[in-house]
Amino acid sequence: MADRASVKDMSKESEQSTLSDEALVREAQGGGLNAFEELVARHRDKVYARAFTMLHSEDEAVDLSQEAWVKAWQRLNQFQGDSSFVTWITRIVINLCLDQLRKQKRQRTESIEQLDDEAGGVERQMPIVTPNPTERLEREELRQRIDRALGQLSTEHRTVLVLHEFEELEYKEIAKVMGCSIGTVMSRLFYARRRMASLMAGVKREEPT
Amino acid sequence: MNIDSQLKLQAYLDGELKAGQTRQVAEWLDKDPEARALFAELQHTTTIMTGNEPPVKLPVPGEFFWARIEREITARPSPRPRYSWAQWWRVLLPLGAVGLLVALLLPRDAAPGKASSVATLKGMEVETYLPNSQVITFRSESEGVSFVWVDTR
Repeated sequence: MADRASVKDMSKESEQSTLSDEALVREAQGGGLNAFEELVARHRDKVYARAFTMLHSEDEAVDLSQEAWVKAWQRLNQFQGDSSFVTWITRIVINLCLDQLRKQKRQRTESIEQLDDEAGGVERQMPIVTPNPTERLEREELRQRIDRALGQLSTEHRTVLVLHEFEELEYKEIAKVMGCSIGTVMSRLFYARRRMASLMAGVKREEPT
Repeated sequence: MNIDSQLKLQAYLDGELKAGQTRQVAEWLDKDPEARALFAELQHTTTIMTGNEPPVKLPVPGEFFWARIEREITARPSPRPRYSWAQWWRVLLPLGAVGLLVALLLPRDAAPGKASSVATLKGMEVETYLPNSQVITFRSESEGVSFVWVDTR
């Protein structure tokens, strides 16, 4: 009897792994926890990655990505399918990360970095970096250098860069998510790019062979 | 080059300018080597980042990750099932039909004091629980009030 039940469970699991996200969401909206677990298994890395890129802290990123999944379950009936499920859950984790960053910002005293961010900053005076055509990096090494460089940016610069370059959001969408003006988004993005350029100086993107 | 010009150059790179401004910036880029150098730098940063997001994997096993989520969501109520219009119609249509049938079969007016204990008076409902007693309740749904009249004579 127990064997039959476990076989039934296994066949249900394998059946779910073949279902589309949309079908799983519909099942989960009806209270199907197994369907929701499958959604978590499919997208947990992507959701965690977004939290980690924004926060640069493993522990916080794990906590917040779990919180995002719990929130997603609670709000699942608000998901109308206007965007893909993965876009929707990513927006939830981005909002949680922004709340967390705002909390941290309130807790720390205003830093020089923050003053620079709003007043023009050292990036404006930086000499223009000319790409070095001789240095070519393997993709893996390039990604590691991007990761290290992102870690050296202020949270405001990193966030705006991640939302623009990785999430491919437009200026107005970033402004809405971050609760600031389009002008602020533009200046933060500009300084973030200039700082990245100096941190990544000498890197040439590997051309596809 | 002032900050407004620099930001305009960036907006040009990101495709965030209107058609007229795009033409202006393109012409400016043709003439100004400093603008071209800054544009190349911004473009280079975007190019190396696009498609090269650092690969990040969850540092804890999937089962542990799910276990906490499951604990949290089972401790709270599950989402209410969502009903589509089709589902609503499946319930409402038979109910409506039964309601219509009942309305057609029931007598339209029931005089007070007769067999029926419910009478309609200008859209208001008068109900006597005991026809021959002196206790009468009066309820107006439109006004949202109820009266209880007790006649002790």
